[in-house]
Amino acid sequence: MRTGLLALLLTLAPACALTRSTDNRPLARESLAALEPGRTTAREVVERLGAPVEVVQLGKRSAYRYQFSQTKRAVLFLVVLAFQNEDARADRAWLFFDEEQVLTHVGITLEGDQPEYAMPWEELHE
Amino acid sequence: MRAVAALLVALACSGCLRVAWERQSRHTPVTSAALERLRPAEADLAACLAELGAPLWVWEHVEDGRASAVLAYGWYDQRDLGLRLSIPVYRALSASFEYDKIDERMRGAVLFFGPDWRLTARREGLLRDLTVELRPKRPQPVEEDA
Repeated sequence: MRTGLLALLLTLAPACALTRSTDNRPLARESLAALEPGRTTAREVVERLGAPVEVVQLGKRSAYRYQFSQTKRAVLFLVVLAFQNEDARADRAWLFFDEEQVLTHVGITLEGDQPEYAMPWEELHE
Repeated sequence: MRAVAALLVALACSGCLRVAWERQSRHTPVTSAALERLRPAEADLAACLAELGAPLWVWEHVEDGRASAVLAYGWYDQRDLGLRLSIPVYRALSASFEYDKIDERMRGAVLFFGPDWRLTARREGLLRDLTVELRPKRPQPVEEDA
């Protein structure tokens, strides 16, 4: 019985895959918390956080995007059956600047550490 | 004997025939309750960012001749069950989704702001449909005269 189970596991093992991919580095919560709307300038933001991944011009105002994303995939192949799950989450911060390049608004979402390995029938992020 | 034959056929087909059950999920959905709390003409940018977090996209939006912004939030959780018949060519799984492209299945919400950062309008639905007129146009290649 054990031998049969082991043989079954060995047969299935090569058909399983777990992969993880990331883009950029996770955003540092403390660095974002140190930003002060009305005081922090765009230059100070870049000095602390580095170059943004995107700059959007909003007339004379602007917005910078900082982002880290992570994707986790789980795949299982059983002869002609394939089960795949891909879950992606991201840390994002949008920083808005006025005409004088002073920070006015900050929007932050930190969930880049939350993607999960799972099979398609499993519930995620409960 | 029949079982063995069936197994052999299944094994032989495994490279080109596949019954696939796939699921893809991206980003945490914004709740309807959170969106309902953001009333046009009342909520401002700070309130929207506090309620919904960082959007996926920010684009310039001109309202009354003055530049302002549109914020787009998006997410999806898609399950697909399908039968695939294919030529067994290796296909690498994409390392990460393309940020600039909006998947046709992605649902979302778009918030429009006036020059004073006051919320002026809110739309919900399929994000690609909602934003077709809002997304910045990519430069088109210039055709040289022959």
